[in-house]
Amino acid sequence: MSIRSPRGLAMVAGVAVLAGLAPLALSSEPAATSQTGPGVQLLDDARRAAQEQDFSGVLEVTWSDSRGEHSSEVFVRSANGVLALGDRPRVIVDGARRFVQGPDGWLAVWSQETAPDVPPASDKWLLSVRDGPTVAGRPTREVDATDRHDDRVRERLYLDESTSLLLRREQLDTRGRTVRAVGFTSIGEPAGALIGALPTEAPSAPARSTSRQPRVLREVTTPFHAPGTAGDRFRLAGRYDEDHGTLHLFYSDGLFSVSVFEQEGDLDPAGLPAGAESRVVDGRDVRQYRTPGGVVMVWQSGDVVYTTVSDAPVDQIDRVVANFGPSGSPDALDRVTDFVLGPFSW
Amino acid sequence: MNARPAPDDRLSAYLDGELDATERADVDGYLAESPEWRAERDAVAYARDALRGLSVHEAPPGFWEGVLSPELTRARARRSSRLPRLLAAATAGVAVAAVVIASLVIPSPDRVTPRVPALSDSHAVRSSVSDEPVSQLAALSMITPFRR
Repeated sequence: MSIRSPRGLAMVAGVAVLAGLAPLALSSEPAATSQTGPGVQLLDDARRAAQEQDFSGVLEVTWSDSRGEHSSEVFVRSANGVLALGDRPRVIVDGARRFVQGPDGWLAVWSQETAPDVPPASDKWLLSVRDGPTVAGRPTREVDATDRHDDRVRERLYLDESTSLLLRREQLDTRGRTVRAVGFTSIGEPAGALIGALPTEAPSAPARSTSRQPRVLREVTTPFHAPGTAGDRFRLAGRYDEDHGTLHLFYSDGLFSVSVFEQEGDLDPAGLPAGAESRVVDGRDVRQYRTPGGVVMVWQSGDVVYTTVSDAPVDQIDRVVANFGPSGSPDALDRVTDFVLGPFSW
Repeated sequence: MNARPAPDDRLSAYLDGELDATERADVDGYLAESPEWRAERDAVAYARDALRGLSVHEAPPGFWEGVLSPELTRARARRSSRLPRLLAAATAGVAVAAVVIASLVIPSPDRVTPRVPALSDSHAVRSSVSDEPVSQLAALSMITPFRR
């Protein structure tokens, strides 16, 4: 991508300055470890434990949408630093590498070691730790993430007391109701494990794969827009060029993350998945999907079609949406232009 | 034998002495032979003499100005107000033509349908790098109506 406007130049200059300052502001260690407090330390331990611990288990995902509550189970196993999800693995994690089963074989979708690029969760969230309930037969430590601004608990995480594996996490809405949960219903030793030997069913990284990895971007050109911060203290942590001319911006607040995808053009809703809920967010007409992985919102502003995907609560995503594109209904010039050009937009 | 024509405007010229010798001989022949030509000659001569017999009077001072000025004023006003409107209409016409031409020449924005399941996967993969991977990737391994 090239720079085509003074605004783009200013943006790139700003990003360059930030990029230059980033090494000074961030230590070379993972962000969480630079923070104090048992909550931050536990979350950091949980991130590593999933790949360092050998285990197998069944994970249940529950979520709700306009049609009611849903749940689905996934078989998970981890051995020798390789994590596999799915009865016949559909996802493989091997260190920084991520593989996804595609229709014609494995796709290598990620392989980059990332810098400590997300802000510490404790900047925005008060992480309190206490003894938690038994989850999948294991005693837990519970971490409650409370918004420092409004004292509301928005996420509860339950970690295995002995291994620090994340056994369950629950997302709460503003009224304290659980709206999405991911948790083990059973967990144990790796299936087929042999003492002192490699488990016979140990997952392994695919020997062959096709690369489908996004390209890291150092600059963003018009009409795309990449604010350094968005919503309620979400910080831009990555810019990527996906297939089909799609810009991918990745924001994090240390606990939740939001991806903002930007595509130039006019939204053609005919090909979108069914089941969207129509909402108006800060003057934008938004199509919203509640999925097992979180919430997806699609909308258009100007000549750009935006798609956000996030595991954050909806009210948090709404505030990110407000940062992209002008709000409100089209102005008079837009309406006149649409009226005149409408018939010729074949 | 030549056919005799119907009376025409040569009669007026005949009475005014404006015909050449040949034309005058022709008209004399028609008048001698045709009662219709003679009747027409008498009617034209009567009207001609009546008009010429009218007396001429000067119009009173201010009469023509009184009759014509308001109309002239309105005409001038119409012309002066018509000019900007014509210019505006012409400008609008040019603008519409430019827009139409531009819409034909400049390609309209592409129609975009985000591949929502694929974008959801991209987010899950990226977030699993920064966050706890099992909970972030669980949905990616599930077959759901949304993903199908």
